[in-house]
Amino acid sequence: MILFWKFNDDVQSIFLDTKSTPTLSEGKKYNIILSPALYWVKKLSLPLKYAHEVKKIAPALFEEHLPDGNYSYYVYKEGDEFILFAYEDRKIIELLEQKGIALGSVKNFYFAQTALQNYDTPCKINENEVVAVQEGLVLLLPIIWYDDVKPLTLENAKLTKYAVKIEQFGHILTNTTLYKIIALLGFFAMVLLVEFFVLQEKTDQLKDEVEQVFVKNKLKPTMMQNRAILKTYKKRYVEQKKLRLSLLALLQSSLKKGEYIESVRYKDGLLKVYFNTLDASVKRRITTVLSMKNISFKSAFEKEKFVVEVKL
Amino acid sequence: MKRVNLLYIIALLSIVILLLFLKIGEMKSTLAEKQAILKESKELVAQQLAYKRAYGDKDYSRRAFERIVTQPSFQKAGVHFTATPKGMKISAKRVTLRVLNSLMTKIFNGPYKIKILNIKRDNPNSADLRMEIVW
Repeated sequence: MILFWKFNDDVQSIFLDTKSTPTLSEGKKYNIILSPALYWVKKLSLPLKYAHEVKKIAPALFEEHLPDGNYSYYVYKEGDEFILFAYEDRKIIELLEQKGIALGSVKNFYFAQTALQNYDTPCKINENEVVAVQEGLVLLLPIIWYDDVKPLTLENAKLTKYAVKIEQFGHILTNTTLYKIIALLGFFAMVLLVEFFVLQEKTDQLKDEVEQVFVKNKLKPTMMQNRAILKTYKKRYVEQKKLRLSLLALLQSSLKKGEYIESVRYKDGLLKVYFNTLDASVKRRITTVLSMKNISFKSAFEKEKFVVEVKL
Repeated sequence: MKRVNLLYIIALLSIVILLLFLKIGEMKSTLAEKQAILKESKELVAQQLAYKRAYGDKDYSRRAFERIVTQPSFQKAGVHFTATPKGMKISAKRVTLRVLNSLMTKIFNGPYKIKILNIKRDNPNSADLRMEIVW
């Protein structure tokens, strides 16, 4: 209960009019009561049942009375009659700025029509004007018309459920524009959604295809393992191929009469071939053959033998 | 519908579009990744098969070597074949160069991984052989 009252204390009601200056309190929220100078009002009996039906035709009903501008409309039903309002969001916001009231500090906006409906005596709002109720409508009238006026106080203002939303960009974005934007965004979202599902489908297909390749060829689960296996195979292939090529090349080398290969040794990737000769020209002859096959080698004369060493 | 609700719908749609954009971007990179994996795995399989056929197919190597082992000319020439858990050991003392040449030709032309090879010529017509093949 205490909290409730504290909350209420923090909200101050202010009468917003072009020619009067409201008293503001720092850190408070405001309920703004809009002066009749800030809106146009009509009281009509129409063969319609609901306020929202009337709101649809409100622009047409106000058409011939309103000056040029971007108007928003508000309608509520009172008995058998509809009360229609036309107002310009932009003008109200500009006035708020002029009076030093931030839009964020406004709790609600009310029309004087609803808030001051129960005020029997005309209330002075500035040096020249009063607000007074005439035939059920709260109007702004010249002060000189009345002998008995009192200053406007808002303690008895009736903050009804008919609070109105003032839109900062209402004058720029009409509902039609907003619907168009929604339609455009909706279409765009649909296109993206279709692309999303197509990509999802493609990814799933590709996943299946990859899985099939792995299962069919008994590949290891990760590509890293498979690359390592391939590397092993490749190394083995290169080594064995080079062993065979080197031996073939050495067997094809031209040897003089009495020269022959005395022994061949291969282990741990090292091939050693021993020739039973000390003839200096053997090196040239061997080099010619191995170079033609692009096989790098080392050679030396060792204990009356010529040794060729090939690292595979 | 109140205008404020329309703005909420616009905000919601914008968020949905943004999320879809992010998700689609993510999915595109996943798709590209999967395509790369598929391409690489197909190439890898082809290469693995090629290299495996050359020197990596254990069963095929074992079966092919059986034909060499059972050849009478090698048995007559005193070439010994000893099976090991991982392959085959081949040894021969003073085997003629003709038989040695025939044996080496068959082994070198076959899909066998030679681990050790020792040939020592002891006279102009014969040589000693010690060799190890692994599958």
